[in-house]
Amino acid sequence: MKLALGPIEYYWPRDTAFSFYRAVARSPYDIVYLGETVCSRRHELDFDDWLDLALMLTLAGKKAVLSTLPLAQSASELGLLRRIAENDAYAVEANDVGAVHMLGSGRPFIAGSGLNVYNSESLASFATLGAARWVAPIEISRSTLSTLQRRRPPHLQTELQVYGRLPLAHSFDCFTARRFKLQKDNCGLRCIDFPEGLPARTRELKPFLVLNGTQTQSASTCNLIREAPAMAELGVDVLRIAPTYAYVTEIAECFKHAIDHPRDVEPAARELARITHGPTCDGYWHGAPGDEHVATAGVFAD
Amino acid sequence: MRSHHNDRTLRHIELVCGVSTLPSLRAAVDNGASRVAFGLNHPKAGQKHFRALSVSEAACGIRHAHAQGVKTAVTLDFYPQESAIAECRDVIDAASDLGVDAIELADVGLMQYASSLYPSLPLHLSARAAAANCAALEFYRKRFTVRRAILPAMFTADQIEHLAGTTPVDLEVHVYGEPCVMAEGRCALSSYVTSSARSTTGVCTPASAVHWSKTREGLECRINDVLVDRYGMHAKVVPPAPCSGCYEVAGRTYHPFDDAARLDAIELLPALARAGVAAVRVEGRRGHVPHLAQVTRIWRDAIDMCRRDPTRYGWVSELALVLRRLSEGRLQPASAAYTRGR
Repeated sequence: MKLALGPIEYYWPRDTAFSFYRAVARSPYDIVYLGETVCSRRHELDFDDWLDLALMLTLAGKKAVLSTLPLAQSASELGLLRRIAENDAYAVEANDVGAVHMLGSGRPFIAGSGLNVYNSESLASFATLGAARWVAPIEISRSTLSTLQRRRPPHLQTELQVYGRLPLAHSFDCFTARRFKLQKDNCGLRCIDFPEGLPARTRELKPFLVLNGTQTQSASTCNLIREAPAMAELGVDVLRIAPTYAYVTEIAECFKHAIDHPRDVEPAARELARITHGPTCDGYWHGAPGDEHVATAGVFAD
Repeated sequence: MRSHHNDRTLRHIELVCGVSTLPSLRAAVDNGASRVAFGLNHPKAGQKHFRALSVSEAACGIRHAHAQGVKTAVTLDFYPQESAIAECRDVIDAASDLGVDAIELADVGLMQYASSLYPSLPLHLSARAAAANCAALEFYRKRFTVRRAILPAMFTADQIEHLAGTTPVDLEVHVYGEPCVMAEGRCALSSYVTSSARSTTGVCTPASAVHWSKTREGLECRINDVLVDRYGMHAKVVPPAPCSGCYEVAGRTYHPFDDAARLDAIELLPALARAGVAAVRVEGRRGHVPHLAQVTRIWRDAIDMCRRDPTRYGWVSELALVLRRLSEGRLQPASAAYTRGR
């Protein structure tokens, strides 16, 4: 199984992003997703910057993938989508069927979770359209994935998120702007002030969600490291980690250990627990509500 | 591409009503709907889904609609999990057997099935497919012969006009009802807390997950263990969902997501007509649309008057006031949703 680093979902200053990717270049990730996948108003990095980063990471031995906005709407968003689709240097992750359309036939792509593939029929359809790999929806359970793996078309790879906050919802409205009583069109790009998003707690002050502009995330960090051996048995090809600034290399090292030592995951799991802050969850994988934490230390779930 | 009509020759706009029961279907048909859209229970379903018609109810409803020249559509607008695929195919088969005039779908696998087996059954793209641009619409049109796209209720009037000018696919626009605050088909908030999500089961927050309790601080509403709101004595209670909750964000406790309002775009009808929209949709399936019969009648009158003479549409503000009263005070001004900057 390979390790992938998902695209940065928060809004970071340019220098921060570049310094982050220099560290990633020295880390154990095999695949690195690049690009803006939340809001097209963010402009610290432009398309050429992303291409420069892709080149830097390729020279460091990584596979760079250009990811795309879900729900591209404006002419400029479509224009960028077209530039990404027409690039012939790097693979593309499509999160919108418009991107699939632009990629055309004969051009393998990664079917991102934004395409909402929940069953084997849709999976077969996108494979026919050129998907070389699909990213399972965050809600997928082990039993559902097991069925889909049995029915997946040959040569189609499977990827799923195993660590990081869950991207639960996308909106056309910006909730960060709304917190400060601003409209999206005049938001002042306030999300740059929140490099890990804006926590939303219940009235009991329990962590619940995180506002990240138009994206709403779970406050809990999904952590499926103990499931890595089961995923390998199911034939999962790529494990995706959602990036945070801190510990990006250490997180990869934990998962690398789990992949390389499927009968001795505990040390890596304990180290990962040590560097993970806040609540964790693994409910979806176990067929439960996403925010539940089902598996306990040393116990391998069904 | 569609050319824009001048003000004197606005194209006929279809009035589509989403309904969830046979009586509401009849109410919509009898009060001027051009088309009624409804969910359909599986033919062998033991238990009726609470927001869909049984096969016999649908047969009755279709007869009633067709007798008055009203079209019909079956809505299967979620993304089924693997175990539900066979059932969904049966529903599509049943819909075709019943002689519906169109089927509304979101899932690509189901579109593949419907377009291959029933190529003459018009396919409408559900809002849950969240097609937001002309390339997406072209994808569906080319591969599945989708003839109409129901847009999510998040577009401004300008965006609708722009989109209408760039695609041969007919556009259907939500103009009345309770829109989701999240992009349709892109929300797992409820499944995060309850395992149920509109995208995959058709249901957002099931009633079984909602718990009310009276405490010293007020009436508390929980979805499973999560406290989503606390109401004082005279506060107006909203239907519970994670997105309608009250949360603390950076020191402020408020409703971060929900406008707590319905959508009503009646004043924008001439603009939508000029934009070349093929249909407007009153969505009564998700929540309760009080007084669906009156709401349908008002929209029918508005569409007819707009078509006869859009320049004298000024009187519509009176209609808008009636609609607001009928909606029990939960209405958002028309312009806000369709013109606010996003």
